[in-house]
Amino acid sequence: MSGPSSKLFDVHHPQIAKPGKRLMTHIPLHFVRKKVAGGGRRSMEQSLNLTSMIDFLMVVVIFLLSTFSASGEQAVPKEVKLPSARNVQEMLLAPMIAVAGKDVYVDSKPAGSIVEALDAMEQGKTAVPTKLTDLETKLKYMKETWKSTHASDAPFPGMVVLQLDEKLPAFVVKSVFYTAALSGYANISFLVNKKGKGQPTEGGGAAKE
Amino acid sequence: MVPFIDLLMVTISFLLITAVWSSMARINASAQVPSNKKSDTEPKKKDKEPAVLHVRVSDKEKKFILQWQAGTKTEDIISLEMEQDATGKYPKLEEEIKKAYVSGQGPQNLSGDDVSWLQAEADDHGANKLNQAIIHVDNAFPFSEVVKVIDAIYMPRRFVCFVPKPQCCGKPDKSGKSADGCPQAADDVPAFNVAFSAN
Repeated sequence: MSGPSSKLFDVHHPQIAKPGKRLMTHIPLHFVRKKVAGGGRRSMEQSLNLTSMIDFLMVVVIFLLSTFSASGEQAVPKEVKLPSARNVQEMLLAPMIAVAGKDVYVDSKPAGSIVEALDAMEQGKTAVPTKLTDLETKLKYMKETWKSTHASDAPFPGMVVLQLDEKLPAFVVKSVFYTAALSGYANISFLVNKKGKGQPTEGGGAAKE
Repeated sequence: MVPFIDLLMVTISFLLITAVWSSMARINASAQVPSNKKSDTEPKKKDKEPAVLHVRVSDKEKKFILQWQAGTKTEDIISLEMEQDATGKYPKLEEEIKKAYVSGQGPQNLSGDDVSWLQAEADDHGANKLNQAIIHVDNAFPFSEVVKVIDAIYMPRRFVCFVPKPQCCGKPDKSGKSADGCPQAADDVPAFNVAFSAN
């Protein structure tokens, strides 16, 4: 056979080749060929048992899905480092007052600053905590909104969570706390990181009073 | 088979990437401090009201002062040094708070474990009343330390049924069910409810 048609059926033609092992077979070393061929030892090729692999993947997926929880997570600004505590309670749905730098936010919306409290601290006027005017206005407005959107006989929960940096002086904490309490939010909690072996309770504390 | 494995792998990757294990929580610090004033309209209750535990934190003197207050009468229990351990806790304070709770159940009229009561007793019953602790801190004290003190006050715990028998009775067993056979077991709650004094 000669010509182009005979080349096509040639076993040495590069496009048509007998299936088989290719890797490392061209190396002209005896021990390599022996190793590649198996050499009486365990073969280098291993088959994967698909059934057990899928079983394993299914178990992992189910475990991750069952433990997946988005509750209790809050977006915390970079500059805020939360303190840690062990005897904590589960998070609840309540307005969040955050202090980031010198700014105050209520549910991520600006609500004044803590400058008034810091100034009072510098001037030594610390006998009474400073009332943060903008924060008070915002909280009172939220309280009125809550009342207008709920039944008239429904009791106002007055719950609020404070997201404060761990280095904030107690006077500023007191000022934010005092303002929230004056605005009608008496059930106040601090946002913390859960640490070690805590005993998280669903309600507890004042919530059950 | 291959698309199925691909789907599983993508799901696992997604769940692992979005998984958050550092969950946040809250620590309660109510502003609701019970008043010492007696209401005229309120019927006379039991012989004695429970005392309030005041925890005063003096940053200047590096001391904690524990005081009982029953009505207008105040008595100091102990003054202890502000000493942290390697983990940043105040172990002495935790210990003294526990002691104060245990020893205060009789003389200070504090509520202890309360795992069985009937509806008829509800009006006179103190189970729904939480023992009160009030924390007072210096103005320059950092917030992280305030939280540590509140955390220490929440250390002693008690078992309380918030609903009467037969809905709730007995302490929870290992599986969380009532050891006395009621549908609901007593709740494990902090012995003190902490109020943060802003003044």
